[in-house]
Amino acid sequence: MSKTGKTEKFVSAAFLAAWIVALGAPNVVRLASSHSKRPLFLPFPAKTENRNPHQWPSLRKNSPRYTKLREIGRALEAWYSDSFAWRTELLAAWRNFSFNVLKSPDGRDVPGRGNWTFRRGGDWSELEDWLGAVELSAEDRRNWIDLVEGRREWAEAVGAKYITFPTPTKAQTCFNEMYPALRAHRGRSLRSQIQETLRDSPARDDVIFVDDEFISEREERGRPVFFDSDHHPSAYGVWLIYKKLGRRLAELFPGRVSPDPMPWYDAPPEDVLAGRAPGCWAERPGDQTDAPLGIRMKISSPGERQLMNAFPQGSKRWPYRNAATARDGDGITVVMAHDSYMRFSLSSWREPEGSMVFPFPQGVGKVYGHIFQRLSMGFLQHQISSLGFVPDVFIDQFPECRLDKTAHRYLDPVTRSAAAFARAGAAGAATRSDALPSEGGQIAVRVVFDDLGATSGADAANEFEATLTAGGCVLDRQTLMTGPKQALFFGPLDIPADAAGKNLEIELPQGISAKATMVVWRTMPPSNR
Amino acid sequence: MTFGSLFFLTAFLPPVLIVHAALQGGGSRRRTAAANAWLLACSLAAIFLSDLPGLKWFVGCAAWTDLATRCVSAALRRGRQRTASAALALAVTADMALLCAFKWLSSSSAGAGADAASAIAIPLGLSFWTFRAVSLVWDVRRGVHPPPPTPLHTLGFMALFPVYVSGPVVRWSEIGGAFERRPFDVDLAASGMRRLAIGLAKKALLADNLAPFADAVWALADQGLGVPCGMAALAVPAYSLRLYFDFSGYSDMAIGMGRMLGFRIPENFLWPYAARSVREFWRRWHVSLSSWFRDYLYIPLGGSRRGAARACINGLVVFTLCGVWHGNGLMFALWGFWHGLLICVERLVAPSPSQRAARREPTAGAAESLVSIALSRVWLLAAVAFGWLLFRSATPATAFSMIRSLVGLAQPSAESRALWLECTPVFTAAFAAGAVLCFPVAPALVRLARRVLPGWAVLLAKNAAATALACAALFFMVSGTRQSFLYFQF
Repeated sequence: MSKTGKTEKFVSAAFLAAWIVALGAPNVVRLASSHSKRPLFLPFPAKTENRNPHQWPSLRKNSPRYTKLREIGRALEAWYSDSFAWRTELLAAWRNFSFNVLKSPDGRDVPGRGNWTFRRGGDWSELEDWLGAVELSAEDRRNWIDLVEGRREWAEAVGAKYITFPTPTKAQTCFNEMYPALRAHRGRSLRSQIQETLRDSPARDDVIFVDDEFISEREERGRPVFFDSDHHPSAYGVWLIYKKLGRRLAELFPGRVSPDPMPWYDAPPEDVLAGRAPGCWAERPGDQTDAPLGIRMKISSPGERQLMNAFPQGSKRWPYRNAATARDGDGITVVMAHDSYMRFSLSSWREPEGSMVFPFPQGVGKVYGHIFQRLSMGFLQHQISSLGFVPDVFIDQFPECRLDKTAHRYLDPVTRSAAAFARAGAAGAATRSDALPSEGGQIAVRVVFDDLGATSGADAANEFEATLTAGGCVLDRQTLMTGPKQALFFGPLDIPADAAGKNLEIELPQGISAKATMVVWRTMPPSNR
Repeated sequence: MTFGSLFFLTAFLPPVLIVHAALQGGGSRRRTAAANAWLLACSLAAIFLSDLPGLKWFVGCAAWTDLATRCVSAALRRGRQRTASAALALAVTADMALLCAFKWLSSSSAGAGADAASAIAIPLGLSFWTFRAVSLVWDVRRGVHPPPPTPLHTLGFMALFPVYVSGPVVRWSEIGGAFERRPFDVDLAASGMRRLAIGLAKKALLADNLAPFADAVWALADQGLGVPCGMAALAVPAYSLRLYFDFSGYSDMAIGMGRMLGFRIPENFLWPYAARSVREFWRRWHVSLSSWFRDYLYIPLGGSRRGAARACINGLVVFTLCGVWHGNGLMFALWGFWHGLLICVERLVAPSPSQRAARREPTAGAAESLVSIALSRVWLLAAVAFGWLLFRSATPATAFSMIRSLVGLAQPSAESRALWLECTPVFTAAFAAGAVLCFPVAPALVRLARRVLPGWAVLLAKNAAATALACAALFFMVSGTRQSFLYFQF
């Protein structure tokens, strides 16, 4: 063999050997080390992937890791992938590489300028919303009108007010941090579609939008309204939302609620990151010690984390699911249902003893805050039933990029009926409590109960059914709860021939009584039929 | 277990290769037999881990294929042509019945509204190993080669893990000799490793990064939603490139692993998008499959020996069946028919040099104008891309929706605005790189390097490039963005 041939053979052999060694190295290292001694080789931490890593499969039927023989290959491969040596480091490196070098999404996170990230897809399609990729159908728009007008009508029937506020998204308010390629393709947002829909609605003032304030604070004053590496608003952004909410409350309750907002409480970021002060800030890559996947939010709340639970119920996933706070002195009572969107930032107002103080203005007394809750009809009834009094205002919060799903999900029959009742009134129909028209037609009905209670042996906590009748005909049924005030809406209902000219009556089950019951109806305008 | 999985590459492959190389040694009969036994055991283990329910069908098919080859061979030795043909017919019928039954049962169980768990799964690689079985028996019947020496050789040939799942549809005549004597060749093994790296890179760096955009466009078309003309026009070549790099990447990996095990598996893709006619395209695209259809269907049907009309009909039948082989939806058949039709048109409009010679027509001059070369390439790419549009669309409605978007007749939907999210820098880079690398640029560069550099330096550069590509591919793979090979569904 010539010298050149030998050299080439040597190059080939070295290449081959190096590759075989490289491919087999992770397993050699794995076998040579134990998990307990080398945490490097533990399965990828569940907290960063939001799932449990796959376990070594077992063929024993009584094992929690039991896997059928036919699926053993797949299970083995899944376990192997999850416990692959250096997987954590490789994934961390991948994330940094995809963001900083490739400038491309890693999963659902789309990089922006600097450390800024934006979310796409799944349940947080903020970039799709920015691009105008979600369009409300006529039915969606109708549902939105029904939701807001129906809730407003229901609240009025029980003697309360109703407010809803879609919280802005990062893409809609910090768009200058996006890359020009995306920024240039701004479409019609869900917010603008909802605003158009509500333009002529009497409930338009009950829907509060905060986008303009966010944009102005961001663009003109450079304030951090959102975290750059997370999709939640910063403590300052949340304060802006409460500021506007407070102003609306001052309009609704003049003389009782102050129009001046709670002062901005601004703990220095370094104190928050060091755990010395309450707050919520994003850590920079240089600050990372235990977050290999990149930038993470640091939430600091010195003192006890557990908040007092006003209504312990349902999931125990979050210790701060329900938070109740009270101010000294008299004030209006607020029931607020909101999602997790502002939960981190609310840490900024956490008092040393551990309870959460919502940054409402003076004049707001008790606040019942329900994280991960929505104002379904059952929830509204339950609030009055369990509190024993009617709150002054019900507040509902939705994130802007979910507005296309919101109305569909929370629009119940009672709210729809309440909206129809409100529209019948707006169309000029008289509110009547006497006999139904003898010529028939279609009606919407409102029933308000005072001091609805269980008289003997009935379980007040249970829902029960109320039946609407006329001349012996059952027109409809609805469920409700006991309480100082409850309201039900029925219809639109066609008046059967047997019921024409008869009085409407409401029947309650035995053992349930109401101090006063007021049944009124409105004829539906022809356009609604 | 796929070629691109971490488990396969780092846990399965290294011990298989090391032990195999140790057993191979100088390639004596005894050592080769030991290497064959090891390879068979590893192949069966791979099938066991990948598709246990399909294993029994595979072993059954291998058993009757081996029996058929021996019956055919025995009949031929005794001069009983009819018996040999009958044995062949029986084996082919059994193979095709198995293939058709599973494809039909699978589609009917999936289409009956049943959930995924109750749908009948097609055994992994069924389309490929039934075709290998047919070619084995048929070639024995034609006298191309004797049957494999033992049933274990037949099983080893059919179970060979590099080609088990997605081909190439390799024949015994091409690799049978290596089952007899297979010495360890370090150059061959190193070239195999390089090829494996190239295949991985094609899959992970190009195909997987081209997929999201094309998939997003087709997802809208599936819903009947309009897409801007430019986006649709980008999606079709993006899918064409994705399909090429996906499948040729798989073939590269199969060829590479074959070489590392001492098998010289024939090339399956010969720069198909550099072809200048659809006929030439099929001589370059999935060569093992197109040559299978040519040898075992087109030629037995009469090929082009019975006039142009019969050749066209034969071509239409063969290509439609080729489409059906890929899947039993109407669109696959339409895709196959489209290619059959294109070849008929080409045959009539622009006969090949051999056809011209047969008709005693003057053949084209050696110096063709650049215009004609450019036109023929544009024609080929447009025709093939339209075929891929049919191939990718699940229903005629989807294809129609895509065509409407392509010609600008569809009103772009609001949802289509989200496509901007898929136009990432990675997609753009993959598209640009793919558009260049689907033509034979890399071999030209190697040729150039050989002129100016010594052999060992070229080899070193090739090894370095392969290493870099494989590292990048593995990096992408670990990220979890890796997608299944497209051809696994066929």
